[in-house]
Amino acid sequence: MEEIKKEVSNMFYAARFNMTDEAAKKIYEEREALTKWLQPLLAVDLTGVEESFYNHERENVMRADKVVLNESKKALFKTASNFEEGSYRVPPIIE
Amino acid sequence: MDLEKINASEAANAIRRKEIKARELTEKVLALIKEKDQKYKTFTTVTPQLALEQAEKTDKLLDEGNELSPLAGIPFAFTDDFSLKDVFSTSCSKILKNFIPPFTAAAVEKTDEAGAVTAGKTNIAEFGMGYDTDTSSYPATENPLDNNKVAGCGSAAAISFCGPLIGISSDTGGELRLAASFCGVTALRPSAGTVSRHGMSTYASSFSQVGIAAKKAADLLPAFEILKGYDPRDAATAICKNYNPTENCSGRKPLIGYLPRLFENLDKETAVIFQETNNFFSASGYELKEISIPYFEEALFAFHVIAMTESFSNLSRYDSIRFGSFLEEDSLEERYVKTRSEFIGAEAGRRSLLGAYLTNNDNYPKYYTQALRLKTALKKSFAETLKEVDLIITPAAASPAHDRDSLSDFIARYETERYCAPVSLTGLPAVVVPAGLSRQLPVGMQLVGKSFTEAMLTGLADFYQREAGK
Repeated sequence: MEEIKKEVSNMFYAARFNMTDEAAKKIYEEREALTKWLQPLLAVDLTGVEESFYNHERENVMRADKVVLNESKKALFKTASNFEEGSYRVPPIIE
Repeated sequence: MDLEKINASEAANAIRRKEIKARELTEKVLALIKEKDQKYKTFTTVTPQLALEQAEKTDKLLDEGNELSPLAGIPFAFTDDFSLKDVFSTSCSKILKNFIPPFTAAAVEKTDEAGAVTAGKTNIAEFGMGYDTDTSSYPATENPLDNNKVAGCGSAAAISFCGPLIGISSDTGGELRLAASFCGVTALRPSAGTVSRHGMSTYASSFSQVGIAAKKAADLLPAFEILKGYDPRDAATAICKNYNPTENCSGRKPLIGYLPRLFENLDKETAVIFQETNNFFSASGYELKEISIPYFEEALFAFHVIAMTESFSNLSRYDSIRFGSFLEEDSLEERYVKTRSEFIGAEAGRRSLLGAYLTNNDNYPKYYTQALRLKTALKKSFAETLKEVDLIITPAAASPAHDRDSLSDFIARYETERYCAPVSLTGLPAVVVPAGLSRQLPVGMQLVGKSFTEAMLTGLADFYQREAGK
């Protein structure tokens, strides 16, 4: 179990999920199943092919240097769990 | 007026001819939803007050002689990943359980401007991840045609019992197209960049598009015309500034390509349906050509690699601070971890974790870069093929709707998307239209064209529905 947890701990840390023994074992098995399933992708020879990010050709268009807020600040901050005097209040990060 | 049989365009014409008021139609639709949806659970939130206000406004404008859109007075339903101001918009996830957005999605705004009516929000898999609503934080939608079978999203399923409704849903790997196939309705996934996604929460930004579902293919293009257009809030729609609907057939019948090897994975009855479909088009004077599309089969794997990496990135915004559910904890790190573990569901969590794995230092070049290269190669394959033919016909799914809970293995579910996911990789438009019945359940065919050929695709689908009696 400890080996499995060591293998997957970075995944849980990066994705910010709690790593219980059960969750670690489950994602370890799913990871193995996925990587096996993805083998046909790795088998394709794509040497010399560029990566594709967008569906259409694009160019950068610079906008005017003007501050614009789409929605009023007040409306956006209403959805926060704890917002005070212009700041989001969060639990401490320094012990 | 039989709401089960009539479609949106017929209902809209009836409103324009003053045979029925928009308000009256809306009342009938709301009553039908109330009656049927206790069983089918297609809606998560119905918005009767908003709908009736909009309907009255439309009636007033029509009475004053104003020219409105062809779908004025028609009810639209949006999956719950579309923001609607002051109405719960949860993406069917517990992490957004009480989220009420302060703004409205562009697609919803556009239907309001066109005089249509917002009937409410519908069920979808959590964050639109997958076609099955069993991952939704709401009870799973039942298929109105057979309640033991999966339905897919509520926006498609609701049309099965409410003909005038137009359903709007995100379509990332084929969620809306599969739902249309399973529920016997039509769907359009538009060309990438034609419809603004502002206000639609997405898990895989490279692939998600605003999809449209309707009872008949004839309803799809008018709905698309309402939704399409440049929106500075979605940079991808900059393509619309030079939007030129591509009509490359110049008066002749489009040349249809089909891939014989796709038939190998179909169940026996479904294979017969597609053979009959090909025979119908031949008999109707269309030329069919056997084609091949290199990398089509591998595309499903590339889709999931990219989708998982984007899930990992997109879901990181659910940190419980600026919005969403939260658990009070002593430290910020604990709050992130415990909140996300508590409120994000199994499938969304899986994709996020596996996305983290696929993009670590060792795996990024091996999986993610390879997937992006395959995307380039596939797009080139489609582009080359679409020089030989005008459109490509494929199944939307290998079989009709499967039993609920029958596919517990996550990879088996991903395999169901094998015909739809490749199209998502390309950004090309696709229409799904019912092609026949297999074991008494509908199976859809998918028509794929070049960018901006929505008119041709929906036109051919409409012809097929009318002439083939499907």
